[in-house]
Amino acid sequence: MKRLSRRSTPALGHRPPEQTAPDGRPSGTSAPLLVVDDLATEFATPGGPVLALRNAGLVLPQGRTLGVVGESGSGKSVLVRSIMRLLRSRGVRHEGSVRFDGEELLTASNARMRKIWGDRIAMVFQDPMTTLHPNHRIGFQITEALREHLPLSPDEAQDRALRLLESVAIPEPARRLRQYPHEMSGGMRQRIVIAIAIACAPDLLLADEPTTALDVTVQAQVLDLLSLHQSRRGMAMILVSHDLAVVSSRTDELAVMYSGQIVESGPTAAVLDAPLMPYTAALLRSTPTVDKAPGTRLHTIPGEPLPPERRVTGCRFASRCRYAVERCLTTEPPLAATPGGRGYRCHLPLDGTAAQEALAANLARGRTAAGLAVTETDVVRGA
Amino acid sequence: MKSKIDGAGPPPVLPAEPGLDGRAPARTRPKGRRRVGVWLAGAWLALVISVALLADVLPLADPTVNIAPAESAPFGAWPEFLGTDRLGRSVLSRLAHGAQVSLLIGVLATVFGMAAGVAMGMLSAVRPASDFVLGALTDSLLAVPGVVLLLALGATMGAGLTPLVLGLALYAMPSFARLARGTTRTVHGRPHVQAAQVMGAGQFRILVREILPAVLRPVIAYSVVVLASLVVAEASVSYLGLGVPPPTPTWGGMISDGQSSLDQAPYLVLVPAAILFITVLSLGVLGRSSRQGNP
Amino acid sequence: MKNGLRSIAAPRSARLLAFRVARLAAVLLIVTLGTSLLIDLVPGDPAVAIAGETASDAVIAAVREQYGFDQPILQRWWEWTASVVTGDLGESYSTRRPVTTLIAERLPVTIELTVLAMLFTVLVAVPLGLYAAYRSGSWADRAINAMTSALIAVPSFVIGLVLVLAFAIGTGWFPASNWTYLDESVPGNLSAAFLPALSLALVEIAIITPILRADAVATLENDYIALARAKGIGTARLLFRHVLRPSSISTTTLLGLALARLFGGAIVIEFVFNLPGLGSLLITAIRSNDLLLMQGLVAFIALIYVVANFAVDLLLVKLDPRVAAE
Repeated sequence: MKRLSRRSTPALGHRPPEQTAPDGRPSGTSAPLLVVDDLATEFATPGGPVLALRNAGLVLPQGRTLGVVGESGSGKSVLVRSIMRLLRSRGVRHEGSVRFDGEELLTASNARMRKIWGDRIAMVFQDPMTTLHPNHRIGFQITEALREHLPLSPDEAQDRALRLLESVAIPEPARRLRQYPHEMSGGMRQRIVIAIAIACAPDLLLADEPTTALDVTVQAQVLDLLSLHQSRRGMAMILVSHDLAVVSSRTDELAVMYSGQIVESGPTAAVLDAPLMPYTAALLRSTPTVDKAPGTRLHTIPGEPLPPERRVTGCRFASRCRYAVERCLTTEPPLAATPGGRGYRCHLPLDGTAAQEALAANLARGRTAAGLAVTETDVVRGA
Repeated sequence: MKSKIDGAGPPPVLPAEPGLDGRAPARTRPKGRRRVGVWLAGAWLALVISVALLADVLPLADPTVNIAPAESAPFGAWPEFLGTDRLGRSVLSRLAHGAQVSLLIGVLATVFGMAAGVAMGMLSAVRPASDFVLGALTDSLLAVPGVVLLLALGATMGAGLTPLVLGLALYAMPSFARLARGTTRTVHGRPHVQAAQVMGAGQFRILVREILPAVLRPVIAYSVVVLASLVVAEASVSYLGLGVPPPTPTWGGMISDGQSSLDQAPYLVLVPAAILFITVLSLGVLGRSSRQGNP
Repeated sequence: MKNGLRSIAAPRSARLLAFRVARLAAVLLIVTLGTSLLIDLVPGDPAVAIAGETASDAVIAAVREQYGFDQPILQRWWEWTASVVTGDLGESYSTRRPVTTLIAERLPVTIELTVLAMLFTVLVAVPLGLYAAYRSGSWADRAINAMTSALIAVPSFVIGLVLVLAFAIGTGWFPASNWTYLDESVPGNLSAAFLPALSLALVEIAIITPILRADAVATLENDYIALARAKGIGTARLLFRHVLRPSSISTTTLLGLALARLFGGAIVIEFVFNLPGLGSLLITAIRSNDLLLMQGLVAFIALIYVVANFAVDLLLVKLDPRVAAE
């Protein structure tokens, strides 16, 4: 039924295998919970349409966790909000497909979405200071979600809310239920947002930078809380962060976003151990980790992130990539898949010899095909 | 202090005027269509103004003399294509002369109200002590509904132009004062004002040379909207029979006269009402577009 | 930061309250003084104006004595205000009846019109403004915008006349004039009050709808609205339970002003529909040069306005504690 055993079907980033029965219904346990295929999102702005997300594809089985990382402005939030179809304002246009439990969400009616929201898909937002309604008591905000989807009396709902607050480790839950958000700290508020999200035991939890706005000291607590409930309730979870460290230990799968695209995906450990896409490698080099030797210089990625709406002919990362060759500027790299369930968008994956040859040629010339200066010392230090 | 919407003083025409806190309703309408509206509004007002200015020169019938059978319907004859009223007077000519009265009173009162309001507002922005007094004065003026203020002044001073202009100016003053006060406070902290202060310029000089120009821009844009509300107020008082006394024609008075034969000759109400409506609407359209041009 | 604000909110709101009470007192002072001063604007002798040109010297002297026109303005103001505090507004010259009695007779009609108009305004403007905000940019939003911008340019008495033409003369659904008191017939009373109240309300609807829309559009951008939507609640619940209250500050301010403005507007509308309210009383007073009645009415209407605004200010502080801190 709703809960399925955890299965390892890491098939991120490329077209899903045909797993639906002929009648179109999900065929038992084999269908992944969420299949996003070639999803694009466009905003109408006064200056013309802006493509904020393009060619996004991912597959998330029941009970698994997916991390989405990328710099700010890379389209991570747009991705999760598009999956949830929460981008409300007029002028938002989606293309492609988002199938949740066998059902297409992009074309579902608003009434249908309201049945799914809160009950089957829930979301934790970035800034707990702004995600709780300032005029309503905590108790109301939690029971509202409960009573919308479950046949509960007011007392039963109140009782559930109390237990939810306990389960997210909020002291004195009975008193907190009667309080307003402004009477609480940021960490406390984010726990309440989590309590609201898990209230109806959803199948999929979308967490959009859930700790970015919090004090460092409570970030780990909130992440642990999310992981705890994710595994205890067997929810699938998408954890979005700009911080690789947040995602690396808490997710099964990883998707790296750059400039509105998913540029690399696969099992988290595999991607982090041996990135195939130069952007992922650069992102890793710029992340502080404990196992790096003391005194190791952290690297910044040269240049500015390419805004998602900018049109380019080749690879979107080419202007900042030190491996870039002529082909990277003229031909957009297609999505490639490996047998290990990994996917990437690159002409010169780092496990091949072509990448090393291209780098050597660029070093010899002192610059890449896109004109980016590269020197020997950069590479040695980075390697 | 109070989060009152600035300019909520004069009644009907001031909704979209939150102005100072920048909460004006932002709408993304196609630019071209809005421009057409502005052009139409401008053309209509140009027509009304020129007819008002030229009313005595144009070949119009005397507005106070009956020229034809009473209550002849519009579009029956030329040049009296708007028909005649209860006493057989030319509706067209009365409308033209009524425009004179409406616009003269409206413009005079707007100018006086603006001058007094801006002075009050700027003064109260820089002198905290006067702020309380002037604030209370403003609130007191706002406390009397505009029509009541006009009626009271008209009743005591006698009907005529002077009490109307005075009353309407008093009625417009508080909103100008609030707008000027808010803008002065914003502008006061700007570098060029502080630079003038550091250089030892006197307060009066700073107010006039540095702040007044910045205050006048939104105030003048706003004055179009105020003019619209004053035209409505004048029409309302004339409608109540307490404005400029007959036989001088006014739009409000024409509507009032026509009301007694509303069932037989509704056009005697509808024609002046439509002219009043289109004029006020045009002022509103122009006012809104000039305020958008002056953020 | 918000927690910090809270801790200082209490003394601040007390100071604010004191400030507002002081302001209220100052306004009342100025208004009463101003209405007393009105008499001095009368060209010539106010006693002659009241008694009439043809009155004998003895009558005029008696009137002057009765109203204290021979006294200096401050003393006249003081005596008038002192008697107002005791609930005595003097005697109307033209009817020889106490001003308070006259006001009390006419007040119910004006109050009923104002309350009904307010009710219509809220019932129409709130859903309309919220819906326009929710569908901002849609044709429905544009239609609502076009409607309110046009309506705002129509004086209420013109609306009244058009409504009379359409629904009284045209269809005969409602009476064109003639008031029916509530204790005579409830349906008759409501039917008599409907068109006048609607005329008053339409102007306010045109004012309030776009203001609420603008604030609601801003509210809809908030994360807490996204969260509420993510709970899967229905649109009506979203708009009325989640969007309305954070968007209602400007609207509440305006509604407070509207209450008083409706009172003023009722004067004109009562004239259109020939209703026995305060407005027609005021016009009668002016036409018969009944200065004391006029003075009492102006002061009374101003008092209602001031108190209504004061109440709205207090309500706003309650609606949103952040206002107190501003």
